[in-house]
Amino acid sequence: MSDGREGEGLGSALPAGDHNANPAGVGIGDLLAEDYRTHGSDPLSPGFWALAVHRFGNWRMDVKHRLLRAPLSLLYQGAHQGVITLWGIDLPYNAKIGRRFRIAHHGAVFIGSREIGDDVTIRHSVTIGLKRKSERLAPVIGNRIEIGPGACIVGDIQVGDDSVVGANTVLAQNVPAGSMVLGVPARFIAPEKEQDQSEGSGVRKS
Amino acid sequence: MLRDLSSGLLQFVAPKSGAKEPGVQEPIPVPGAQSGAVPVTDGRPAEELGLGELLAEDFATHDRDLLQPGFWAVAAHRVGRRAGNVELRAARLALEAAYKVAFTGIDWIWGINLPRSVDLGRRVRLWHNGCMLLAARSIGNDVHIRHDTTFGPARGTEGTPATLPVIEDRADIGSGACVLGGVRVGHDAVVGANTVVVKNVPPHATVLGVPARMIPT
Repeated sequence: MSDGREGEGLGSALPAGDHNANPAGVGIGDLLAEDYRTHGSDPLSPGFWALAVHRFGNWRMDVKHRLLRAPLSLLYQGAHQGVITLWGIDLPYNAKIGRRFRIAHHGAVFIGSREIGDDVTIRHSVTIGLKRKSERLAPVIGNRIEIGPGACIVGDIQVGDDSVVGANTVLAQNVPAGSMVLGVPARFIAPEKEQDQSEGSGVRKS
Repeated sequence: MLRDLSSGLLQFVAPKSGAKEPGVQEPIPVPGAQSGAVPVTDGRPAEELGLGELLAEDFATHDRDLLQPGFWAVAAHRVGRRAGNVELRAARLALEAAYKVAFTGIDWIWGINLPRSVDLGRRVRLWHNGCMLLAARSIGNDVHIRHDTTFGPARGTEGTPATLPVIEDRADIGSGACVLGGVRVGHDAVVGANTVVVKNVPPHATVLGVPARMIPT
């Protein structure tokens, strides 16, 4: 699943990765500081380090001379593999990711999206990628989206702003802004209905 | 079918000493009132056991196998729970630091995140490892939990303990299951693989699906 395998798997479905696709208008230092705060200012947060490696992978593309870039690319590849091996977070640099992206818990995360907006939160075991090997388009994720643990978001789809993708949901269809989906395959659920259920669930306050 | 499978697994892990584990193979009828009645050898809750006694029991629960990540995760939790009680300040600080290192290491290497805020019962068995986030309010005795399971708050309710799930005694949690919000998984319940529980599960029930539905046993 590495981005190094051009021409098969996801390699050709992602953006080419030939330029710095970090969010525009913010320097790498400020961007990393913001990512650090997004991850609870916790230096032990694997999510932060995975994202930092991603940002570095993009930032290095600003070095246009290939020979000068080679050591940075080597460092990026090593760090990327390290993050995958240690924490199970596969976040290729050419998957475009917006600001304040948060990986709330690590493990079995694969993010092969075409584009992810701002203020998106994912959790462990989240997969974003192709629907079939023969298809070449990965999802586009909007802004302010919450993705529950175990969710799979696959195929040439768009997830609208402010949506919620529930835990263990398999989403392979377009979703308008403000939706809440849950299930295998994903079904729409009404947010207020869910509210009622959780209030009436007989929680014993201790 | 799930129940068959789980009881098969439970038989498989029954300790060699034999009769020490009543109640795991056939559901114990729980007399009325308190759902969390404890059908254990001596009936003491985990807090009343000495650390050594508790760790020995956890070790036996995990097949007396030091290579089981689940044993180490539970052991770190036991030590972390008691670290604050140590009188001598230097020893307490050392123990707290050791706990922090062990907790982070277990979370990073094996992906088992079992915070010490969880009220953990006796003989809890963690099968396999990876992607486990077990931030429940309490986990009862003889609960079996597999890999990729998530216990935690429902969306938007983070931070208050009343919004964390309660897993009662002898519940059997399948791999990939998520139990979210201030819900209660009843004793002897079976939560199937990849199930998402957002409502209470009655005792002895079997649930499966996203979201969870009761299935006949």
